[in-house]
Amino acid sequence: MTRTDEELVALSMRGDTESFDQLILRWERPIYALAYRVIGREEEARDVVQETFLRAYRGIGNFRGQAKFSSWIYRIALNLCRDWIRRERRTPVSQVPEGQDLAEIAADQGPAESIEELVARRALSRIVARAMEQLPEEQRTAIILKEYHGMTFQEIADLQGCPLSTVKTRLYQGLVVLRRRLNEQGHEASGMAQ
Amino acid sequence: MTIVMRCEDKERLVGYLYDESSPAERQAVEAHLSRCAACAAELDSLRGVRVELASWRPPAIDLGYRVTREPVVAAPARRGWGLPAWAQVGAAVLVLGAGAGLANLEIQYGSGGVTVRTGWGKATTAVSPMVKTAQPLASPSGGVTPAELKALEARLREEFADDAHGPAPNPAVAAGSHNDLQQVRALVADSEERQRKEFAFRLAQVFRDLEAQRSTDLVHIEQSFRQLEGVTGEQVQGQQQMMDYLRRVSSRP
Repeated sequence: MTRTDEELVALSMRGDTESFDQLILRWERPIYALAYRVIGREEEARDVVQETFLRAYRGIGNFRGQAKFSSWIYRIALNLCRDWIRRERRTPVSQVPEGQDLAEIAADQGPAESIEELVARRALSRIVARAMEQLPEEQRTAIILKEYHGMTFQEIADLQGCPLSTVKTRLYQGLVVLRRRLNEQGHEASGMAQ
Repeated sequence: MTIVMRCEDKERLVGYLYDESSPAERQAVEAHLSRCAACAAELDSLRGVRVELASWRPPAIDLGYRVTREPVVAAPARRGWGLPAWAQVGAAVLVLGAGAGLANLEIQYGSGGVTVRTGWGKATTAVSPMVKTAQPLASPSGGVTPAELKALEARLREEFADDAHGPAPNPAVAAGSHNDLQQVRALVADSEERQRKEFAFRLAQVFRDLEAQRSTDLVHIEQSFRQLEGVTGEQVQGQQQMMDYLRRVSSRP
């Protein structure tokens, strides 16, 4: 039987560590993906995941259930990412491997994806990562939460602590900048390929 | 109320892009897009950006975080007995007193220093196993009268006589009992010897400590006397100077 987050949280509050392990298992990959895309570094993203769940575990007794558990840990993770960016005083740097390891590429290959399509997607992934890292933090985070985590405008507004209209504006401005950057980098990439 | 969308209304366009519009807004956006090619083209380009964004995936890694608890570390064993210091001192005094009692110890701490005597070397009062009842020998006043001594002598003689006229013991049993008695006596003697040595060792430690403390006290006392003498000497010297001064003053013509 699959328990809901709320049930697992209630059990965790009573000291059931296995229930908390299930929450980790359920949410560690989304939190890692969030941290990786926001700060752009694999190892640091790992640290953020660990610290996020450590803080959640310590603070589970204070979780009142007014928000969803996922919103709560997303907030913790985003605060940690923000702290990291401010501490490092720099924009995130995407660690995208330059070399094309065929074994690694094959492991990342989708079921209906040819190797040529996979190589093209990975090249595009690098371009997107570089374009994203040039966005202001608020726009980048809003796009990440919307595009990769499927949050509603209101959920993003709650996490970012801003009005709903601001979220829409951030999304629009971010997408417009990305469109321009992607066009530029796409042309550069196609020019280099030729 | 009918909603009319304009080209500058990008929030409504974003809402439509992400399918988070109310039915009325959706209708207004679609009506606008059917009339405005620029906004329709922008919507298509933004959809294209979203398709490209989907290609960005984080690296596949193993996470597998779990809650682990630190092993419970046993609290370090407390030194001593876990009793307060005053209780330990009290217990030590009791043990010392009990030991002293066992050893028939006599301690005198007087002007001549510390004198320790164990009672083992002294003649002990042998208690005859045949004495059935022990009468108090001391009179209420603390002395023993000759009449009482005579009465005691007579009673003891009677008991000895009775014992001598009793049935003769079996020689074999008597010999066995004698051997057992010898062994028991030897064991008791060994045990007493061990206890005496152990106790003497402990006592030696205690008295070494006492002697060290006594020496320290003596040094302090000596220092105090010297200080006192120094002060007294200064006072005497001052008085002497005062007397000399008075003498000089009084002898002036």
